[in-house]
Amino acid sequence: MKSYRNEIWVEVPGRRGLINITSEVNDCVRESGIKEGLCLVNAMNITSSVFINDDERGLHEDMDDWLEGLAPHEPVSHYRHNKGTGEDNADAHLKRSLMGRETTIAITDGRLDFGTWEQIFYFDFDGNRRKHVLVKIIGE
Amino acid sequence: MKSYRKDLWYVYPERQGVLNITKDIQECLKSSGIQEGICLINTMNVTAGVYTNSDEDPMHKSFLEWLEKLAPHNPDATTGSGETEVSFLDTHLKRTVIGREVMVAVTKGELELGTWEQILYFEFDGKRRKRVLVKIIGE
Repeated sequence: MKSYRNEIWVEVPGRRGLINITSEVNDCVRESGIKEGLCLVNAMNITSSVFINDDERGLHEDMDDWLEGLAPHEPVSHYRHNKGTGEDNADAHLKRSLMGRETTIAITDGRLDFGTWEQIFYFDFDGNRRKHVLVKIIGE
Repeated sequence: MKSYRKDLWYVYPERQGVLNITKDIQECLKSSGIQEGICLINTMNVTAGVYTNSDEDPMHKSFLEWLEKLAPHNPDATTGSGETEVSFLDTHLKRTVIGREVMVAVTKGELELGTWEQILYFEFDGKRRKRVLVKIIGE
């Protein structure tokens, strides 16, 4: 069994934003040389998410509105986490819980085994800084 | 290392609802001959989810009611960019809450599930053929 590990570094401009990281993950799969296996892609930061959905701008904006409705950023003082730590990112922890930490994709014939509309996204809820995503692939 | 792959196709007869696909996954595992490993089960469609929970009809209905509160189906709403097909928006959001995939341990040739754990497919935009991928790796 082979294993492969890499980090993808991203910096989202602004507090919240979303980046399509599918081509970076594709590069990892190619570099790994693994033909049959599983590929884990996870955020290494607890205020961001990795998830799979359609690459469509309206959907991404709607998702952001929906998350802001469920876990609003303001009022910052509303959250115990913010009072306790002096930070202002409690909403980011909650939003990331809804969107998930990771995704796992099958690798078949040396490629990510995707459905027609599936793309991998990194959603940062506390951006303006460098953060990283872990890619771990195991197989043969 | 062995690997196994299979597409499972489902048509849910209504717009939204739950199918128990545990038996189909168990059959895949038997065909694979894998005794120790990991089994990934994911939807290949962005408007459905795969998750594990108890297979209990009243609870599926409660899930649906809860999801409907979190992400209501509103065919008359307008979106920020106007690009999204609005009638599908709730399905993408509901699927996000339920999740795209599960990974189940394979031990001694069996899916290692908790007492009440069943593998469920949650359809949010049904009445058409959709696909679930099963990928098993191990020995």
